[in-house]
Amino acid sequence: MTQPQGTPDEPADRALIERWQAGDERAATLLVERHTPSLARFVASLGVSDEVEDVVQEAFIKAFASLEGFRGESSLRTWLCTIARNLVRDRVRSLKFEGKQVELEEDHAVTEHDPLDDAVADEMESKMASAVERLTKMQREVFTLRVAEGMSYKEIAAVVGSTEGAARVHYHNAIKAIKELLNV
Amino acid sequence: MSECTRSEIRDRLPDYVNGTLPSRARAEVEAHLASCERCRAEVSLVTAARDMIVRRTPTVNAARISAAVRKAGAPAREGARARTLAHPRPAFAWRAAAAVLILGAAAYAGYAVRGKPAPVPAPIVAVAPAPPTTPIPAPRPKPSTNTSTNTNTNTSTPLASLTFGGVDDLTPAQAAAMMQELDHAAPTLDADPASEIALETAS
Repeated sequence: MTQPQGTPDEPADRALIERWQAGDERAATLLVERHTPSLARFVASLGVSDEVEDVVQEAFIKAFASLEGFRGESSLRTWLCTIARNLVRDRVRSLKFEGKQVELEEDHAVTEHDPLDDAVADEMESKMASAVERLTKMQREVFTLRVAEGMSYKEIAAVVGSTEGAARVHYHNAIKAIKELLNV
Repeated sequence: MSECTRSEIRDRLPDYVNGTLPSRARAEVEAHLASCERCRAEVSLVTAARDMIVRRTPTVNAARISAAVRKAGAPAREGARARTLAHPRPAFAWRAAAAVLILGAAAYAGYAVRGKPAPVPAPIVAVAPAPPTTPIPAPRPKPSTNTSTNTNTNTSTPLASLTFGGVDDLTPAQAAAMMQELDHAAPTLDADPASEIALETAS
């Protein structure tokens, strides 16, 4: 959940990108391993359930295919999230175009819950999941990026195509909504 | 429960939960938490939400993704070469255009002299850009480095010695020699090594 820029023992993203561009395939593996969990959480927050891995993979492939254009003005993680967000948006549009049922609309549930899973899951966690699912799409995205990924409002704004101020408002509205839903 | 009015503290709570606050900021938050029940409740909420999100995220296979990225990325890394081939630098384009023109002229000469159809289609000449303004110098005689194993004496044939018999009469060695002459003919043009590599790779 911390900024995945490498520890003193791990090379930073920029260094790994340069190693990859120089032909070091291991650098790609390290980058993927570093950012996959974070990206998967974000993709799930967008309402994707069954195809999280597909979207994450596609986002990585797109990112690596255009690393030449990555100027490092944002973090690689922010860039990956932006790509993933656009991919999900394109998929939703495509499904709509094909006349298929779209499950990623505003205020729709994020994930389908197995009743058995719900029965054995921690009650507080289930309630929390329900509350987060009932947030608006934008609130859910911002909340996930802030709480689970520890992104700054500036980074969040870059991912969701908003402003820092708007991202802050979305976050606090999300907190307020969750408190009301949980009666805390 | 109403919310704490210390918005600068509340803004930092996710960072506090994630352990990413600098020590000074962390100390400030902890000092505030000691006296603010509402913010302690919010820390609990944020922590529970973070843990829920982490636990409920579908498992993805990073190794499989990594393999797919490496597989897809290999051609991407060769992209620069491919783009160079698709959009050669002007210097290389000029050389290619000059070669086409000379081959076309040779074919036409063969047609005019011997009356047989020119083997190079006219449209190729028609679409070729104008040749470089750099004058093509007279061919320079080359010292023969022929060895006993090389029985082809035409490998160093200069342009002037190509008697316009038509390009179909050129042996591969003659064609290579002509290209070599072209290299010498435009010494001021900047040859792009990447273009050369790309062409070799493509062929």
